[in-house]
Amino acid sequence: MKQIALYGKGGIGKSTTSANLSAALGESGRSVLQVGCDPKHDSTRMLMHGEPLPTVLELVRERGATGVALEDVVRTGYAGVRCVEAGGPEPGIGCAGRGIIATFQLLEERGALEADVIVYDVLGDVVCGGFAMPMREGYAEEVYLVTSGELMSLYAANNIAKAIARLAERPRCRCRLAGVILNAKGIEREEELVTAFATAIGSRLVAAIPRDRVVQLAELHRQTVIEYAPDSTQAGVYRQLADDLLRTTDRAIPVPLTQDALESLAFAHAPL
Amino acid sequence: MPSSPSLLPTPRSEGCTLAGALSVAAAVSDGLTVVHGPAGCAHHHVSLLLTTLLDQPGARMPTLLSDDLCEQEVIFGGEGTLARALDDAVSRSPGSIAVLSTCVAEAIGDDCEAVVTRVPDSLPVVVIPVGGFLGGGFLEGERTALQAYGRLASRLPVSERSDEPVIALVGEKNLEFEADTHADELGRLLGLLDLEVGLRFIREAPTSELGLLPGADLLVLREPALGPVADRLPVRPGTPLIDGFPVGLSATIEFLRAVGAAMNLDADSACEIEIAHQETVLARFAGLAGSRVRLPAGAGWLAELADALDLVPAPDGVPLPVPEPAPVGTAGISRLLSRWRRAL
Ligand SMILES: Nc1ncnc2c1ncn2[C@@H]1O[C@H](COP(=O)(O)OP(=O)(O)OP(=O)(O)O)[C@@H](O)[C@H]1O
Ligand code: SF4
Ligand SMILES: [Mg+2]
Repeated sequence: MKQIALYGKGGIGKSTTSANLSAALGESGRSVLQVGCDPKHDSTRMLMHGEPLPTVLELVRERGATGVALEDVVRTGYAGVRCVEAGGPEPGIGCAGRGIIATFQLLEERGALEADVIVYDVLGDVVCGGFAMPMREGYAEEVYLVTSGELMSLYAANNIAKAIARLAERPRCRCRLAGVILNAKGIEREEELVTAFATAIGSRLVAAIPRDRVVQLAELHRQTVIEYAPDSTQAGVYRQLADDLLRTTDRAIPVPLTQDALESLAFAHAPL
Repeated sequence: MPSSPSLLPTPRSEGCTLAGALSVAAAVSDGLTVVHGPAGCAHHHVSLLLTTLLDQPGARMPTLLSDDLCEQEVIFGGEGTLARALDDAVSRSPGSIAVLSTCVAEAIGDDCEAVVTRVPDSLPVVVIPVGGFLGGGFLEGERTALQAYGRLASRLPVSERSDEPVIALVGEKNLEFEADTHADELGRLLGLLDLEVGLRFIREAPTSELGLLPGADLLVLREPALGPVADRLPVRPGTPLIDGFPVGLSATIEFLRAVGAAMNLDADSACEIEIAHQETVLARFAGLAGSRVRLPAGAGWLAELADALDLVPAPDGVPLPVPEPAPVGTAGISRLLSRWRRAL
């Protein structure tokens, strides 16, 4: 079983990438579970054709943890991908990070954390320890950083690299960095920059996903690109990523950059 | 239980901000304290409070409730749990309610002020925000609590008061073993001027009495460090203030003079009586004269005392114990000297 987590700055394309990845894996016959770890609970929307999932925390709040059955929270979407949304507390109150870990424990107790591949879609620009829990508690074994060439996005990715590096010092922590995924914004020299970033932190670029209108079109049809435009180049890119991800054995302890080094790197690869 | 007050150092100011705030809130004699947080926070400090109180003869056990925040509340917020605990608290008809937050409550962002609005207006409530992790320690908690009760005092109906002037002791250290002994000594000294302690802010005071604070005629702070707290108490502008309990022979006399000046009283005869009393006390220890002793440097009142007793400070002298907190008034000196006599 592979447990992978996509971490990255808000809005960078984690959910789009996760869902297409899961869809590609599902199509290839793998059993897949996608867990959305974001209070926004929109990670699996495209896989579920827009059908909103009740979140685990919503039901736990209503019924208490013992009152929640697996079939209430795990639904099967496109290509047989099983979908779960952790959800979160009301904005401005409670601890979402703690909620995520409670969700994981509940799924684990009910024996739901079983699949060929589990894909966790986790917010990465939240600074609190709660969002590092999936890594710390050994759920997210292979972390992929999703980033564009924008400084703020690299900054968030670098912070997550810091968290991985720190957690990796613990004897029993299996969490490692498996690679960097470029979800392009279409900036000049973007791939060059993100490749340099990946190398600099001791990892590699595993995919360069172009920015493509087909993503929005698919979204309007409440589908993943894999389903909506199976023959598109974009779908090919996601399938390629799925393939790479299944085969890869790369697991590195990253060496995060200092703020200065990160900025110099961005400067050196700035658009001409 | 020790039969005589210990003069050994009694460090009773350790613990987090919650411990400090609790030491104040639990001293409102008809108050009820709700600790909004995990049961562990309340348990830990209640144990400390109770062991301390057990040392004090006739001590009243305070009423404390924990609303027992658990996983569910950490995730979703604990305001509902606090609301239920408050309803429980109200049903017990206390004189007032204090809500003390904790690290966990502060971290998950509960809005205690918003929740306490459910308490009927007729029942005074005070919210004391004391998440230990937000910085500070015991003393910070104590001060935050005094300030919160100060704000409460200004909202209380003006207490019925006699014609006697109100002299308020502010910030007594409730976990100090000698707290009452110190207050008794201040009462004795004020008695020499025909005055008395009108309010203990806060030690074993019922809620209604706290309403005396805004009209107080003189504030006597437990220690100078409470100055910033006193600055924000809701008293009349220009209310005189003495910034510490007196420690040492001459400081005790100066205290009488300061009270006299503040209250427009002639303190001469009170001072004469006290000086004579001090001489009687010193005479009881005349046998110590000529002893070679070693005392901690820097405390003027100790040097003054050594001088009055004709002790001989010497590097190879007998080290003399000096309690922390320092003894208050002439009675404090008398207890200290008994201890020195045993040491010499
Ligand atoms: N490769 C791409 N090409 C074009 N649009 C994209 C691409 N990837 C993502 N998007 C668009 O960017 C928007 C944000 O993507 P997405 O919701 O996947 O980000 P996210 O990282 O999951 O955000 P959040 O942190 O808010 O959960 C979406 O509207 C999506 O359609
Ligand atoms: S958790 Fe915070 S409030 Fe509770 S006992 Fe510890 S330091 Fe004090
Ligand atoms: Mg998302």
